[in-house]
Amino acid sequence: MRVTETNIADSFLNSVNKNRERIVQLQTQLATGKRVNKSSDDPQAAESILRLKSMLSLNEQYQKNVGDAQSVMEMTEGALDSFANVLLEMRELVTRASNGTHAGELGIYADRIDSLLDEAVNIANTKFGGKYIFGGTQTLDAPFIMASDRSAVTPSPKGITGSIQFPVSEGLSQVVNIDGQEAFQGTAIFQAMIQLRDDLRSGQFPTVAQKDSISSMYDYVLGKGSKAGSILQSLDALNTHLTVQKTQLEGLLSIQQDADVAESIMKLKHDEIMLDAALNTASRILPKTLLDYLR
Amino acid sequence: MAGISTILEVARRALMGQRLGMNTTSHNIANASTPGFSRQRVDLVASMPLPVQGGYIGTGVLADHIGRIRERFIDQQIRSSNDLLGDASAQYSILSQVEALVNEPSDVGLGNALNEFFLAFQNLAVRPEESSSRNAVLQQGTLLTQKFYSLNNSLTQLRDNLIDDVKLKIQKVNQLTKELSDLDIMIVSAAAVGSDPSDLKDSRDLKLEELSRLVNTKVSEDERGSIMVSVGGTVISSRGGAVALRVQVTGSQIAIVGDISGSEVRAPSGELGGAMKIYNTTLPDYMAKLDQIAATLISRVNTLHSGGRGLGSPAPTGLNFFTGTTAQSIAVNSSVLSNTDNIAASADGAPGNNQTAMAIAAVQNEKLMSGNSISISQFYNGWVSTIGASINSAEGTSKAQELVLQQMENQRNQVSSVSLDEEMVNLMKYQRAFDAAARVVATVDDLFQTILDMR
Repeated sequence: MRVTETNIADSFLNSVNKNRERIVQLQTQLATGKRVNKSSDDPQAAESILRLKSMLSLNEQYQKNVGDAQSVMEMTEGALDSFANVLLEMRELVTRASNGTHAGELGIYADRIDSLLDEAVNIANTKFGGKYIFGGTQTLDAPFIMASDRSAVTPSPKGITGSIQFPVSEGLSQVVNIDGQEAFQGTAIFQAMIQLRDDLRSGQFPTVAQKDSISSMYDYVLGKGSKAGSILQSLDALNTHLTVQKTQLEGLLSIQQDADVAESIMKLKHDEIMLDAALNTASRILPKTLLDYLR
Repeated sequence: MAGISTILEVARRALMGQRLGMNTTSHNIANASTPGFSRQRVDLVASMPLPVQGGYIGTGVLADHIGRIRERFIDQQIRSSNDLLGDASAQYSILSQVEALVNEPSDVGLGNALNEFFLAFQNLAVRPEESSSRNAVLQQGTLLTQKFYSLNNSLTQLRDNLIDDVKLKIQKVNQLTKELSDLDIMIVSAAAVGSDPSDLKDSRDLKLEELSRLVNTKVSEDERGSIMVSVGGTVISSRGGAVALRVQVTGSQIAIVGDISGSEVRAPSGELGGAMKIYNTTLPDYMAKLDQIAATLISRVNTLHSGGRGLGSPAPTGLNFFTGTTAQSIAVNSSVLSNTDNIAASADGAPGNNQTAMAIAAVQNEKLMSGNSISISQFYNGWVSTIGASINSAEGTSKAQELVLQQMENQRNQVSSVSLDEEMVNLMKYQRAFDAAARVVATVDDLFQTILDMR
């Protein structure tokens, strides 16, 4: 085979070029920490990366949604507990009123129940983040309105029903409110309180039926409280699920996207050695001609 | 009848022959690194012997022919490899620009803007009453439309710039064919007087090679050494002259036509072919896909949005969220932009109802594209992957052709390139022969002296 200076120079340049090309690629991988920097680095992986990134950002949004839902439900649970406590206090008052009380003292109990009524209406009109939590989907209007003469509590004319659902996972939504109709049987509880107050004020002793109905109202509201509690529990479970999912997604993303630093460095080292060898050989062979040996 | 003067004549021819050899060697050394140069060789032959009694007597050496050492077959192979390489490398370089414009996977691409847009609607579903979440929807919606617009715009610009690129390449082709035609005339007229113009042939081959990178050529040579270059059946250069080409833009397609004839010249490969394929097929296809994404998004979001209700409005607003129909024209409806309450989050008008916002957020994973088989995001991700794959295939082809080309060039260099060692050896050979011939002259001189001294 005839080998000329041009052959030697060309093949040297070609191999050095290829080597440098690989080194640049590895350098980019190491500098960015990413194996896929352009879609052409690995088209399939690029598609997966985009999909995983979108799933990750959805996951983060779901976690935020669940967080919001948890705050609302904690608020709801707390409000229902306080409401149940109001009813509990009312039952004690009624018990005390029916046992050994002068008819003349009933007015004091009536006043106490009137203030409990205020408390109950306030609780039912609890706002969280500027929104009425018992208003159903009518979140911007107070769900329960006390008449100015305090003779009645009426629901908001816009309504107090409607369930609110948050998206909490892929294709899954969770109801995150208990509307006023469901929580307090509409205005039935308030009307019963008003009836009791007016009866006491007019000197009537509370009946056994009234006492029993307060007990059943208490149980009812307590039941709604535990419904809120069970929603909270499922939200907690969702949160855990989302956190686990996030870790998994991040792991998958890393597999597709991240450079294996150790491997890249090893490859870089290898290419460095090859480059060194090529340069070294070339520096020995390229300058040699017959001229060196002719006098 | 050979006399002493015949010896002198033989020596003279020897001196001339060796000098010619040294001359050629010197020419080779001088052009050792000239691109396209093939080493030349003097073919020395023994000149016609004189018949004498008892046989023939030699009459010395003759320089029969000075020619270049070249393999025509490798040249052909290199040219055909060259046009494939030109095609793939042109596509690769343009597609890499497309890739840089699309800029995926990243946090600033259209994919992320799409995600953020749908997330903003999900956030609106959680807080339908708050103006902050409504503003976020507008902000992300506007960002998304800007992304669509700027991506479409830069792709359009890239495509427009390709016309200039193709024009420049055609200018280069026209220049080369003109030079080729001129060279051809010179070569044929040199051949007519019996000489072999190696250097002219070298530069003609070099021009042919440059031309073959730009466009797929077919070269035929006649017995007089004249060549005819044709592209897609049209002769563009011959001894008769060159045919100038130009770009013709018809609607959204470009074609190469003869400058005078106006008839199309088919150039399916080479750098020109590659650039034209991208202009005529690839980029329009990419942009159509982008438009498809925009159109689907616009129509689905608008359908849901116009059926929903704004904040504080019990009747459906009937307002579209987006205006426009394509990636270029997509924009957020100005009536929505001017009043955040006009964003429809509610299905029944209740401020806490978030059904419409949730439905719009769910569009992200709704199977709306490709015959309702994949979602908008999946379609977009697939699009990004397609671009990457096209680049990979162009890169693969161009690397493979480069390798083939390197190997063939290596082969050609083995045959044609100058080896300094070889030339040095030849130089010494010619020098020794020259020395010896000079010695013959000196000896003949002595002989003459001897004869003249005879008395």
